[in-house]
Amino acid sequence: MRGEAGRRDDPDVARATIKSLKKQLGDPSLKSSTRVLILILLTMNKKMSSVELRALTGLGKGSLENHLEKLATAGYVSTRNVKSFGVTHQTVEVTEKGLESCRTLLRRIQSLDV
Amino acid sequence: MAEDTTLSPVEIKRVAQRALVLQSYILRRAWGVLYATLSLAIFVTVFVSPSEPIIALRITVNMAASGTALIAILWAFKRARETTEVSNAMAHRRWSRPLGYRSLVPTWAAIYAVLIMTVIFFRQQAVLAILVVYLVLAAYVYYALRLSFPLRLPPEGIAALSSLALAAGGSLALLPFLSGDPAPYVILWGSMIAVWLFAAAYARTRPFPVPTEGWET
Repeated sequence: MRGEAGRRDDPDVARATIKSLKKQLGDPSLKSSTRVLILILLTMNKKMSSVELRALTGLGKGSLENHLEKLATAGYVSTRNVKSFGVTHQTVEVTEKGLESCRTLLRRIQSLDV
Repeated sequence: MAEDTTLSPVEIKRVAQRALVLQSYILRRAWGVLYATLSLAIFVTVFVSPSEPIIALRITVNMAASGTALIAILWAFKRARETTEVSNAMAHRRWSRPLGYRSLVPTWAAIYAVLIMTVIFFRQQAVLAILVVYLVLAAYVYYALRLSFPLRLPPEGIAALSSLALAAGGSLALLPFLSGDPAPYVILWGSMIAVWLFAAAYARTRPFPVPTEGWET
């Protein structure tokens, strides 16, 4: 059985990885560093409030909403309004599809050794 | 900021590194809650529960304190576990989930089973057993800190870990000599709790990490 390094050195495997990575990076919802950042942050935290995301990304409310809408359209995140202590907060949760996509993206980049 | 252009693998990696910096900030704040909860649990275990006259009540207080700490640990480590996946992907290591409730809860139950058996059958060795558990806790905290902050441990984490190891190791070393005098233990554990409370306050008040130039494309 070939190890991780063996698979990485295999030109056929590397070509296949580059091809699938190109396809994944062609996804319109991932054509933005900010959206990729949001997706990775959500992969690590599963669920975050939009206030928390705004603070971490430095985005304004409208701009964050635009990015979240694109990620939600692709099926990577879902948003919902939660009412606690009389105040409504928006929470953003990564979906299974979003988790899988982010993990696959990072694994492919890892295997390319960039 | 140029938007909606296909990102290169190098750019994705840069974004992932920025995400890890931000996550490190989130984790430091989560660890702040953990330091505070754990120090209060140790305070109850070391200073409050021994004053209970009935041993069953003592064990109950002790378990309630450490159970609360366990919940805080699981909450803080939940984020550390997910971070490990991304940081491991960036550092070419295996993806792992070593800090889940599946390993922590049985470990906690097993430790208490051993402690209760020790109290029942080998009462003279009970303090020794508790101190060994604290040393194991120090090793575990070190392991969890390394997973949470793979590049560099935060100073408050180093201080908290050192004070716990010093209190547990110092108490073990003093055990054969000062069995009747509680003052050195009070100093050791009192200082440890003070350091952990300070670490909690320090971790919770860290400034937001300023973005470095060129992380976004």
